[in-house]
Amino acid sequence: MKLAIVLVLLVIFTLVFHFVSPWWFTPLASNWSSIDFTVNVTFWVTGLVFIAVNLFLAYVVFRYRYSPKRKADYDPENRKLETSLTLLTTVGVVLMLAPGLFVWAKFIDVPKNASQVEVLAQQWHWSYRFPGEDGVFGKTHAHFISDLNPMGLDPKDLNGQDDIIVEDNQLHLPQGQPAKVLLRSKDVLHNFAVPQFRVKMDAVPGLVSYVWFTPEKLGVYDILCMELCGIAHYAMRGKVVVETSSEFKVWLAEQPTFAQSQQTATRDLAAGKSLYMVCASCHGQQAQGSVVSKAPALAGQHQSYIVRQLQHYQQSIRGTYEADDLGRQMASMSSTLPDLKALQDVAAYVESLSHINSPATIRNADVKRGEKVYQNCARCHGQEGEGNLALSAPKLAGLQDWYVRRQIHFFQHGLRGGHEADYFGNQMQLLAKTLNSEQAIDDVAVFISQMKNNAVQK
Amino acid sequence: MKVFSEITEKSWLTPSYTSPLEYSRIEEGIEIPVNKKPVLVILLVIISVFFTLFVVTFIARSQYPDFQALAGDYWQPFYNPQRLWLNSSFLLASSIVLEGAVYLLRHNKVQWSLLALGISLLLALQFIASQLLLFQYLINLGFDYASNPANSYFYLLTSLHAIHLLAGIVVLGWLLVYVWRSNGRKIRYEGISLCALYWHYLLVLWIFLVLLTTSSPGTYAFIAALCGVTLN
Amino acid sequence: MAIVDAGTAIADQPAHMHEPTGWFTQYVWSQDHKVIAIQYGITAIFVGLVALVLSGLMRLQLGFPETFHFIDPNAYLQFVTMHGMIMVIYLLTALLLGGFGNYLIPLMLGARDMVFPYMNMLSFWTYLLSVLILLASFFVTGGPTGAGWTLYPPQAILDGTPGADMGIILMLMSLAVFIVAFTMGGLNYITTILQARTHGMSLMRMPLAIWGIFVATALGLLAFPALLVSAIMMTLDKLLGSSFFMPAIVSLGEKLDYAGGSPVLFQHLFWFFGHPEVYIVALPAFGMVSEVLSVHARKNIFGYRMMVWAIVAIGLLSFVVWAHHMYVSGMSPVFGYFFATTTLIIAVPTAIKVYNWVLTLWRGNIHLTVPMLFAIGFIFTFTHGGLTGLFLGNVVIDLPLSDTYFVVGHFHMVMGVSPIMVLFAAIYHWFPLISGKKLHDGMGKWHFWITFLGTYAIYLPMHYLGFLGVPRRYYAMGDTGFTDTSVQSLNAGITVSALIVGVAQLIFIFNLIYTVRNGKKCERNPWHAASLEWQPAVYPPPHGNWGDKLPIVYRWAYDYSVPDVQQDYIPQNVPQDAINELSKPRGKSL
Repeated sequence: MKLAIVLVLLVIFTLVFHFVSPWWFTPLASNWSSIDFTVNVTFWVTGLVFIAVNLFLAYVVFRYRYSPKRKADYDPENRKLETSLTLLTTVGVVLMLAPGLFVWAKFIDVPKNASQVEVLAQQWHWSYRFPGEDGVFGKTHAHFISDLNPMGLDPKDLNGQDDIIVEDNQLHLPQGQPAKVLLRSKDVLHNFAVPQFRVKMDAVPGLVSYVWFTPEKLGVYDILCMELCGIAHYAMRGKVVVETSSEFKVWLAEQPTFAQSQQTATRDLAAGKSLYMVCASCHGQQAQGSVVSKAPALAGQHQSYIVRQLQHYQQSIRGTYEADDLGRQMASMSSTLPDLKALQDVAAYVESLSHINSPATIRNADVKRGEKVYQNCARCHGQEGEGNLALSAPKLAGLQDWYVRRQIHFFQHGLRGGHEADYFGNQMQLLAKTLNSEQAIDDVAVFISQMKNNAVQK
Repeated sequence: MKVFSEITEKSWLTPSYTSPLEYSRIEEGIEIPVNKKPVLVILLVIISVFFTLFVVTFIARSQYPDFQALAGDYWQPFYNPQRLWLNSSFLLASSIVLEGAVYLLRHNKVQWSLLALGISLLLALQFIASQLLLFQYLINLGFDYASNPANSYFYLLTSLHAIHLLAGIVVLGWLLVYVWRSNGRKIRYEGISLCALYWHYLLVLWIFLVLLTTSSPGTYAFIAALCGVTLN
Repeated sequence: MAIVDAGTAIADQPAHMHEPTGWFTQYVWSQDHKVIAIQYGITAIFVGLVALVLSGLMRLQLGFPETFHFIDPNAYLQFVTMHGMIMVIYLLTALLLGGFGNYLIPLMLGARDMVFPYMNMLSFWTYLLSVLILLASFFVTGGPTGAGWTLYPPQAILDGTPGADMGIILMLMSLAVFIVAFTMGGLNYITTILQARTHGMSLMRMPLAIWGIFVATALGLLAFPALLVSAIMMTLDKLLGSSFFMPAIVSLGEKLDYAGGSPVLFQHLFWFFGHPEVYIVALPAFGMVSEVLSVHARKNIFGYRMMVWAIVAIGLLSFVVWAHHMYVSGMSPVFGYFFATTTLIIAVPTAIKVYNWVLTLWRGNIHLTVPMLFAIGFIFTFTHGGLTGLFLGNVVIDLPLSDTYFVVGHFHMVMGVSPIMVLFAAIYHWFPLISGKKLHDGMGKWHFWITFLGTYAIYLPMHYLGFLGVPRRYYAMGDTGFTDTSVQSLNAGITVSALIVGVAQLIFIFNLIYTVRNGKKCERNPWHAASLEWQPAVYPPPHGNWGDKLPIVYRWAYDYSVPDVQQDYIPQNVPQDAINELSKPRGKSL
């Protein structure tokens, strides 16, 4: 009796949950309404079966509950009933399968006018490539990958020279234009998924897979990695910006071609040194940092990181919050550097300086425990704290403990890394939250500050 | 089709002890006899599945550009697989002698049979030893385990075959000791004849593996096309 | 080969010749299938509890992120992986086949024991070894692997994934050992079912439980080699640097020495095992639940032949659907047509089973005992899980839903909750046979209601998170453009339900201990069951099961409420004459 009522209630509950649930497909932003249609068909068919079977079950449990006066039927089989149920089920299955296969045929068949874009996945971020003016991608191979050539293009392939390289987590796509997304991976399996587009596909090292869709709604959507790819899997995010075709053209024109990205200007250390004089007032002559002016050590830090952060300060990506007074100070200081070349020179000069470790300032920290905590950081920042260019992870070894602690707090509380253009900051926000006791932060900060800063970056 | 009629029986219609299907073993109090051979056959099926799966991956892998078959060109080690066939002859001999031992046992020539069993075991061990020598020869030629997938598969498949043979050697050796200890009074005829069946199976498997690993790239491409193996 | 001669065929000898004498041979190095079954059962339940705790920890992180500082992304992935692997292989497979398979096969078929008792004993000890290796991985540097239970290379063996050194090696070793154990057990189950059935036990007189176990074992014997093959090849890739599955890789900025391998090849092998594995778990559960439904509804299984054929058909089809796990794996999309079609075809025999269970209850006389509650609960959860499978099997619907919480919800309903409902039904049902005592009813009912309603509260909402697009295996969602705080509240709610369900299992454990220690002896055949396992004179049945003479089987296992017979069940070993004496002759419906 109770069971019969509960079964009926469960069916009702399921239906109510289904209809009032705020958790449902995100509004569609691509051409794949046919997928939503197939889902709806399947929902109707399976929903009816679910209701019918369980209500009948509830009825049977109620109607044929135990009674000492009654004897059960003896009913070994019933050909007719069984055959008709089988046929009915088959009809239901065909009803669901047929539209599915039709839509799948569309999914396999990429429109001829689709424009191509390549998505390269790696632990734990995305980068993108457009074929450039010739409309043909240059060849790639893992063995071409280097710090200068992170996408592994064949430097000798002429088709690749005009390929447009986007070393950023944001992909821009023009509205209404079918896009064939070619997927590659450098290391492990990843999966390129945008919930609003409905489709997804794995990126597999060693082969090129693809997926296609037509972005139809303007907007910014999340790209999520949906194939487990290691400890920062959940922090592997990107954005796809769907914009009008003229906006898109403007954006694309701003991105460097492969040939451009290969030009390495010589850095002018002397110029860098004279520019650095302004910085030295806080960061110290040897860029060793200063606890008094609360300035971090910079010496030996990789120049690409310093350039990126200076740009962030200049573009109001970092150092904008009220509570981050030092950051705001730095933002105004950064504007004294006139152009990109100045940034690069000063960064190159800073990198050329050799680092001096500062004494620990945090008491009651356990370095041993800090070392254990650091193991998670080491995945990106390196076992020796040397940083990892391929992952855009800065050098940490020897940073002052108070500075590390402050930055972790900033990341945790959204004072740093929250801006959508600061992808690695976004990622660091997610990862900083794994340190959820003050003690752990202190331990790891002191451990980092005591690491020897002579390790060579990967 | 006995099985078909068995699994379409309407068993609720026949509440008697003789169902429409004939049962020979119907006497009350008689224990059900058990035949061991089917177990070995099932085991051999499982082993076949095991090796087949390796072979399927082998064929698929052989179609990747980095795969360097071990035969085909004259500078490849199995361009002339003489050495491999020489080793195989030990296994063949072992198999034949073992069959002879079973024959002798059936005709109650226990002493001779034990001798034949011993020789068969030694031949099998010799086979494994010469395989190890062959491994060494290949490594000296520069065909390391990891330098090419074809090499990896060769070492892997032949080692797995050797492990199966070693397991057989342990069992057969144990049976030999058992018969020896009882001075030939207790003879595990069934066990020894099953061992012989196992040996023949391993021989056939071996020949298949040799043929497979010494084929030319063209053959692999053909098989792959036949199986419809595509890259990805 | 070692296997063939490892033991003496027991049925060759009269029962009294192999009666163990010492306590050790009786309870530890026992060759009795019933003792081995209990050993399997206790070990499996123990590791199952470990996996349950792991799932609780996982849920704590998901429900209340940034709260528990010992759960970092490393630990989280390790919990996910070990939870999955333990539940699927070391709990469900081992308990259903090693436990219930061992206990029920000889008793239901009227055999004295398994055909190779010694090998059966080895099977258990090998299984125990595999469990110990698995648990050892918690204590090595780097901890257990966190690659997900699918262990996909390249990530399973590369830095950047927890436990990529010792953890993964121990995992693969443990699986290999488990497969050896399973093969020894499985050969025994198959040969016992094929050869040691007693007089009159034709194939179609076997209870459905045996059919389920039989087909599942056959699937296991043919599918586990695929897992072994992939485990061996991955171990070699890791240890000796071959490139079976490893293409050229730049891992965390470092160029590795691999080239040319194919990660997708691993996935094909894995799912060639992995999909049949679903049915290795499901088919014995299908069979056992049929027994429970039939006995407690006092009615024969409706459409017995159809049920048998459905089991066989599902078993066969399960080998040609594997790639439906790989629709978005980057394999050639053309395969999608084939695998979507086969996958949806498999829905037909599965649906038939559901109909026939419900029709078995129809016009029955339903006793809502604790095992029956669990069995009916199973019909509900399985229907739900089966229907959501139609979403994922249909290739285009898999595109939005793959790798989201929909998948998590689906497979937990269909191969987590459902087989576990059956396991509980089976334990409550057969406990009197195993121990001579009935489990406490009140505690059983509490256990059922909390488990049944609680698990639905866990998994139903998960499907909707999946529709929304929330990915699985995420340590934390963080901020996204498509989720709001309601997702976090829902996750917290799911966690609360999960913890309640988890704690409720203590009622069950307590009930087991309480009953074994304080329970009263129950009557013989307390459920008035007709099948053969309930017919021995003493509970638990003695060594050799049947005393001097093997039973003779005269009928199928489902003679309940036979017209014109007064007693509402006729045991399988009762001859027709005995009934004629007891009551009026049976009508022509026979």
